[in-house]
Amino acid sequence: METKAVRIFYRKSDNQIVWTHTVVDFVGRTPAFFPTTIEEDLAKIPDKPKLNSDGSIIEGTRLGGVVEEYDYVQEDDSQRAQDALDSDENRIVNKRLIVGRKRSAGAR
Amino acid sequence: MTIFKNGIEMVDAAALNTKITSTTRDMTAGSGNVSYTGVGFDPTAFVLSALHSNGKDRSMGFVDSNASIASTISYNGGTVGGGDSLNLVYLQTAGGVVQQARSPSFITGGVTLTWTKTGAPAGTGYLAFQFMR
Repeated sequence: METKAVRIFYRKSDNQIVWTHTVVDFVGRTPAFFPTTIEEDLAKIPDKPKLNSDGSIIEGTRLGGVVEEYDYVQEDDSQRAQDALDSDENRIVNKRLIVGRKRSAGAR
Repeated sequence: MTIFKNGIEMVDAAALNTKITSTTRDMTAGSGNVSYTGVGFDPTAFVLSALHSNGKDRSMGFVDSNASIASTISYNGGTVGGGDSLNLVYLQTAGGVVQQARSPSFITGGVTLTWTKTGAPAGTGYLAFQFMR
């Protein structure tokens, strides 16, 4: 029985999910830690669109703006984590907000 | 502490360990990191076998203590991809439709992978790990 915790990073301007960090624990404990800081996770978020060979934009990297702001929600048990992953963008803003964060390169 | 006996470096057998376990990857899940924890020790290498629920597309990846990758891949229902050193997991069911995992890193009691979704994959990815120290 595995359990999960998840951070979901979304863009404030349109609530688009841009990045998640999920912790899966194989022995069924509530994951006690994230191995990365918020800043380290933010550094993973692509700032520029990445295109497939056909010109379509890769899922999760639809970031075309110069300045983007991100917030995140963090859930710490399996069902809520799954709910969060399953949720649409509008539901995310109603979830518990732990910390507000910013910004991509180029922001001031 | 390194112990030598007759000039030969001795290995503490108690420090060696292995663990096998399994989980799944929802093929519709978005891009992001996934940290797999609860291994019971700090792994220094691992093997990850991935199989799509279509029973056709799969990959087998090996990671050493330097986090280097060697994997073999079968995608698009049987196209062979060999000797990949970038993708640890590559489950592609059609052109431009893929879940792939790269950039493994070792963490306390497990590993972290960076997953990228391209296109709109569906189904389930079955993952089997063997962790080693």
